[in-house]
Amino acid sequence: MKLVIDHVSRSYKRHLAIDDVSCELTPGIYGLIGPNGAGKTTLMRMLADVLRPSSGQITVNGTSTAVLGERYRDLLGYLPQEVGFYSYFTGERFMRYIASLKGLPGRESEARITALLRLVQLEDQRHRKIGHYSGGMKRRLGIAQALLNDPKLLILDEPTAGLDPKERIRLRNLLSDISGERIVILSTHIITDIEFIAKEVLILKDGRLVRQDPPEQILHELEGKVWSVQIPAHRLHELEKQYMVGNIQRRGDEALARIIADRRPEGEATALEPRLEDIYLYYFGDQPERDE
Amino acid sequence: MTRKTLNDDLPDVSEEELKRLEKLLNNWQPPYPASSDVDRTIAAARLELQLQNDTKPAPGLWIARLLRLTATELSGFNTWYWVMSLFLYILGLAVLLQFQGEPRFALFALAPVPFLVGLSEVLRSRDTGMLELEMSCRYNGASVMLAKLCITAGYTILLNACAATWFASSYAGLGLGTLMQAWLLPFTLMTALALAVVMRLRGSNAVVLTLSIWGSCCVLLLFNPGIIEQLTSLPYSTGLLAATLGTGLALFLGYRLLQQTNTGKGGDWLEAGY
Amino acid sequence: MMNQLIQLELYKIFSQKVIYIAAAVFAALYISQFYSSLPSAEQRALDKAAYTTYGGVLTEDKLAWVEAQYEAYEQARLAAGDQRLHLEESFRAEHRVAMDFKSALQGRATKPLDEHPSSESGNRIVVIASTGEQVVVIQQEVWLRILIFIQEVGYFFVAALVILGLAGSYSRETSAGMDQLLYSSRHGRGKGTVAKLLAGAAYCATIPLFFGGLVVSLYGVHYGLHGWDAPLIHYTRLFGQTTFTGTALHYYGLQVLLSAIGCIALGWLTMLLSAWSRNVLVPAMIAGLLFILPVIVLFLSLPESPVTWGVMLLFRYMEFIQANYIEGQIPELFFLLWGSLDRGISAGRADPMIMYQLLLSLMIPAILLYWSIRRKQVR
Repeated sequence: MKLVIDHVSRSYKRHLAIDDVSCELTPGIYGLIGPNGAGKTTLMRMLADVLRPSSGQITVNGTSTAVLGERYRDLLGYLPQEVGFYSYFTGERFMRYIASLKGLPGRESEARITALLRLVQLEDQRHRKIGHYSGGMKRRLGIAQALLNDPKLLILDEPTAGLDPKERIRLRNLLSDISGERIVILSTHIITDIEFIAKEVLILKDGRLVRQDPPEQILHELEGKVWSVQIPAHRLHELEKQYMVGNIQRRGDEALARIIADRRPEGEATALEPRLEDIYLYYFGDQPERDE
Repeated sequence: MTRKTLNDDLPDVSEEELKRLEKLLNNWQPPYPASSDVDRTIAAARLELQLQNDTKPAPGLWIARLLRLTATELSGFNTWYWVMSLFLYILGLAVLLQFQGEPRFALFALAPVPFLVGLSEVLRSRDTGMLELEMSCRYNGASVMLAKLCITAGYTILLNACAATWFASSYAGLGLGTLMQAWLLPFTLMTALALAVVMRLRGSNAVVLTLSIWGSCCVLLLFNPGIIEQLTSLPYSTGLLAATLGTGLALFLGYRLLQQTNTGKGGDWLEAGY
Repeated sequence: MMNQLIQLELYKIFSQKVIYIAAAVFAALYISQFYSSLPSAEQRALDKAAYTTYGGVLTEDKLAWVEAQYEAYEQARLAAGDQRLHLEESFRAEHRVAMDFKSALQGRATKPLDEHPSSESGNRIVVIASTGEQVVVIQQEVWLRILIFIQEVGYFFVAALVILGLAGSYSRETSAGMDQLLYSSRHGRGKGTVAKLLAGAAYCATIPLFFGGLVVSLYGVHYGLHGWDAPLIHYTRLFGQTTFTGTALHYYGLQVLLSAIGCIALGWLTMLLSAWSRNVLVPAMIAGLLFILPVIVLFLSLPESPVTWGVMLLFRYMEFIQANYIEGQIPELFFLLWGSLDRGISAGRADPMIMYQLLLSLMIPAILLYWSIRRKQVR
């Protein structure tokens, strides 16, 4: 299966949310990252056939999704960023409701619902009303409904929001397991969610796709640019003026800062292995007031 | 393979070589792909067939799908809707009959009430944020909303028809046709108005607004008995024409509402402050 | 701080476009009703001329004219028999004046005031023989219509707007999750609730003013507002037996004031219901039902019981807004506010209960609301 986003743009009145994005997606996991307002949710909505592009088209194996319509949505599993569940529905009833919306026959869906609720560890909560679920439970229910129709294209908008670390790891492993013949696109602000499982990372900035590459390749760019610097705490402000500063660890009067710089900074600086989080800072961080 | 064929193609091949070749070919098995490759090929072929299956459903099948979706949505309706709308309808009929004693006006005034109250259920998914998820499903947001509109409209028509039938059998001199006409006109017109309002307002606000507008109209009519008499005693042709126009307008506005939740129109409601 | 809170709460209420749509629709409905029943300009001019010429204080000449006019009308009616009576508009207008005199007299004997001869020689003022009161007839149409607007249809428009505007005051915040922010803030529960109540009251008070202004404007433009300074008792068609001794304008001012207070009572009840619900529709429906509950009890002829009595006593919001209890029922509270009899307010206190009920209807929801919000826990 090949999903092609072909010069897609989307504008709301005067605001250009997505600006001429083009890319090709084949089975595997794609991480979509970008700051708030970059257009991630808009792009995902267009992929989920909830929104139509203002220009350009999205095709599956050469056929436009606008033409495919229902046939395309048959392949979809979508988890929006915010889902307004019907609070008076039980978890099981909600799953049955979505199953019928996805056109799944009754008998087939019953077994599938049970299996999925077990997978997301909600089987013992299935008869409880969603209004009484915690945020994490609602998120897991959302993931379960996205998998109901065994989708070939899975679109998850911040699926790990509200999940504890153990649940996040389970979700990562689940996605790795099922991604074999599926295209999985997930957007997240938690970089570790995609760092080890993503085939490619798509970086959106101001509605434009600035990178689409494997994480290793992107990280390779940052080799030799990530440093650990130990300085007196009172000089942190100066450091922030000169460099892009990531994590800061304070140890009494000293501070250990992780910075991104093209050249070795002055003072005691140790080169570090870059992480995907550093990419975020590199592309979206505030530029220092004065370059070295 | 025969000697004659071989002689025609390979005249210098001996009998022994021919037999050895034959034995070799008989024992040769083509290399089979791994089962995972077979599965992948089948999946890809299935996907391709699915994508290429461009047959539009026959009208009968479309209606069957709508009915199935309606049955699904029916079970999802809040129980309070059925209770409240029935309670309001019966209470309203009882009070108006006592106050005015005219069944035609009672039917006229209560005709659109169950549908207006039901709009809160129709728009529940839009107002709670479920609509985005529904729009990404096979039976998308527009289909779901259509099913819900069918339920509320059907329920209202059923209530009004039952009430009209009961009045026709209980009150001498009141024809069923007159009574049917008495509720059909306000039902169609108020349905059209309500659908126009819900395109701009949240469901709950729209319901309260349309109910209070209709209530105000009825209160004003109570002070104009002449107009009530005219409205509830229209000639059949006029009444039918007005109801037809009202139905047409309601269908058109219903279509516009469904388009709002249809991806084809851009789904701009996502940006609206609902 | 409190001013700012109130301003923000007012902003939240008045930024709902649904109230403007509703107000526009109700105004349009009333205006169409007004114009559909508005007599032609010629007819209005004839009416005005007839009341100017033949109205005013009853004198001997006018009394004779009234009898002659009545006789002429009866003869015309007899002559017409079953046929429709065709009369000139000017004659009809004069007949209306004559009938107003007739109804003011109500068959009572009259006598001339010998000791106070009128300025016109031989044309003495005629008074009621038993009471000595003068009989005055004025054009009543304008101010009667203005005064009964709130009692006929206005109460419904007003109540609908109150409920529309305030049904979401708490429930919208609960459903949006804003309540967590509000109740965890310093003033979110105490001062915030008081500010909401005051803003709600201000909103409710503007509604009868809006409709009152509309009605007065319409009648002012098409009829003129003469008669505002006439004692209410001269509006004999409805207030011939009134004990209210003020003018029509006095009465109207009091009516609007009391109607506004009634709106506030309904508004605060709606807000209380809103605080107990997550869905805007629920408080709107319940408030609407409670508003018309006494009518339902009345028209369904439910048997008398503590429940029905309780309903009739507790939920008099319709009466509060209609303010049709003013005459002879001014309680101590308003007597204190308005001063003494010098201002023309009757001291009659036939039934002060309704005013105390009004006070309770204000206080109970406000106290309950304040108490609810102070104790509320976010689910």
